[in-house]
Amino acid sequence: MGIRPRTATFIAAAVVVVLIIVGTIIYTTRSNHNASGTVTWWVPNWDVPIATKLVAAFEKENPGLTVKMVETTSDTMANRISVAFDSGNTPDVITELVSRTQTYIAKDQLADLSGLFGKDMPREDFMNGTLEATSGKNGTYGVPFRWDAIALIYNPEMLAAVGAKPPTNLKEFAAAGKAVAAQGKAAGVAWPMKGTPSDLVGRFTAFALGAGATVKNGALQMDVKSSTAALEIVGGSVADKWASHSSLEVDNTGVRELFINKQIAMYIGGVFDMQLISDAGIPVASALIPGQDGPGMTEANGWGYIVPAKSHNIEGAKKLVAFLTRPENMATLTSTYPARLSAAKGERFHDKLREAHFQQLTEHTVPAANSPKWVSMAPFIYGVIQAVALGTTTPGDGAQKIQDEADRVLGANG
Amino acid sequence: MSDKPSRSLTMSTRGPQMSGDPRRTNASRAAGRRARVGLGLTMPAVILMVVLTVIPILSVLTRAVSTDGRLAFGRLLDSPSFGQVMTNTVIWTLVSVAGAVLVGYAAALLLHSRHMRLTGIWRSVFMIPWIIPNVVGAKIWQWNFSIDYGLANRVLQDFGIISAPIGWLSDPTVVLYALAIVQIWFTAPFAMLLVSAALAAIPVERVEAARLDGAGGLKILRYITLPAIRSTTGIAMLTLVVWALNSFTIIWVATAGGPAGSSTILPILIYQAFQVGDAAMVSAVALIQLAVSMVFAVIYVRAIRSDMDEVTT
Repeated sequence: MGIRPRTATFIAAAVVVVLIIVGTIIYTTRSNHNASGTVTWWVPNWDVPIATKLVAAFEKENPGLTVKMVETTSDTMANRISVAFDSGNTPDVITELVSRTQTYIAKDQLADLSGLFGKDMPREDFMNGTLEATSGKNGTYGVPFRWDAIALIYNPEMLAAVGAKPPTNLKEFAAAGKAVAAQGKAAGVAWPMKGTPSDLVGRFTAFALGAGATVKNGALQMDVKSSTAALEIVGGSVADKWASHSSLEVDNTGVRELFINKQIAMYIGGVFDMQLISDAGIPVASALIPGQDGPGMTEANGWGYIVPAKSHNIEGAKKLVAFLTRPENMATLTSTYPARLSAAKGERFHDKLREAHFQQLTEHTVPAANSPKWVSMAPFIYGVIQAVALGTTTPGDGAQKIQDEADRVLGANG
Repeated sequence: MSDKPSRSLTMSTRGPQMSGDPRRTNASRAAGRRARVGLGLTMPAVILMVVLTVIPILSVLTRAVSTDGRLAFGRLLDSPSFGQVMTNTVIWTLVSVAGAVLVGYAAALLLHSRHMRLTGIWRSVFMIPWIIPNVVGAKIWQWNFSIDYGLANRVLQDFGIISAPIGWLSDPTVVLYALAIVQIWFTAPFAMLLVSAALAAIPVERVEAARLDGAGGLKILRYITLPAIRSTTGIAMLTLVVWALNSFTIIWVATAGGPAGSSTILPILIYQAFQVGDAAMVSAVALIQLAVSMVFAVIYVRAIRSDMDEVTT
């Protein structure tokens, strides 16, 4: 006695479906790994429209190569790239945050791109600190294409209404913030306390640098005094109620929305925000980040192209990177600042709206602390800042906790 | 032709047979064939389950018991925030499950009431949270609970219930309960559905007889309705507990485990360890999560089995 016809039909259909699925997986995997003809490029979603045009131009110039773009998003990108490296199933080119590059260099996960530098792309043409951030182990493993820094963004009308001028040091910054908050209609400032830890820690670092901390060997070299000064501003302002309590509920985008809705008079943000705020019809201006006695320092960071060591088409990947980092292409693909000085000559990089950010970037920055050990400390510092904001820890006690953790993770010089 | 079945022994390739009742022999062969076909048809699903479940569990176990894993356990237990995470997990589970059961039961009883009109429409409205994607619902509630823009504070202040806005998502003493409200909003429809089905199975005659004997609504609820849906209560609670223990999306979207870890539960801790690339810590926390979930999974399976036994006997 055999299987009934209906059952046999069902089993046959199931087998066909499984074969189709398996065949599709095999075909997709193999077509992704076409060693000679395809270059897979992981691109952040905000770059895709312009990147599409650049890819078309690249493919025209290189008829034997096809670029396959895969979109990434800022909140999932780090994990996705990390998993790709760990699994060995990587694309050929990745647009990645420069400050994360050292983590991959330490694990020998990147291809050396030193050969790309020369007459067409001289190292001297790159902004100070950019290539150091992507170099190590006697090679350069990433090519930065976008470089920027945060600065002070403020509403001149809201400050004028309380008789305050744009602050030039920390004392004036706190006074202006408190004056705005005292009016009862808005807060002085807000911080991105719910979001990526590195965003909040970046603000903390800016004020720590202004109070004497430095960046050495890829890590922030701080002491209790500089950390206390930074915590008094970033966390203490929330506890003292001159920063918006919404800080604990918002990320960078939320802070910008608070500013656009005139809930805050100032915040520390990137040049990318200036056009968005201006387009919303809100009075906006920018200034250097206030430091202890004058302009403060901040970290410069940006985006670059990396080529995984396990890429299936390293030569094609290098060609794409060389194309994308030509000055005209680099300038096209950024709404902040290009990493090459020759690409930053255009008028749109020097308009009045952006001038303070450009000055901050070129005169008052250090390359972002990016050693893997320092990066691993970010969640801890993030938690301490929140605890200070909630009033459960004082800035001094919080600074001591950060110092103890730094001594443990980085060594006694951290 | 004799009516008695012949009892001669017949040797065949299948061994000695009692050629007894041919209907019984055919029936047992058919049953065996059905069993084999059923097994064959379920094998792909079983293999898939093994690949997607057993292998990852073994991978986590292997890493957790390695040297790095044991060190990670040490760091985890020494961490001052571990106690808070476990406490948060317990509070989150208890509050969200109790709330979902109470709200779901109340909704089911209300919809089952003979005084209720437009039952179908109300049931559909109540099911809406169930069909909304978790990410979308969590985002909506994040806006509702915003201290500056939220509807929750606006409504409560307009009605004079509170005089100052509450930091639903920024006050460490309140945040876990606020998020539990969101979880209840999502899962109460499930409890309502289960209980509604159980209520529909209660014989109408039993209730009518009780009314004839003079029993009021509360007595009917206590002596007839609740005992009749007792097994459903157990199943619903166990399912809700497992969901609460594995819950991630609502908390991550709304608060990312903050502020200052006050809404971090075990699944959030796993993801935070994953974000910093601490694979050993991921395995350590995942093992703890697995152990806790397995306890409830075993109880759940036993409850299902005894429930099925009750139905078949």
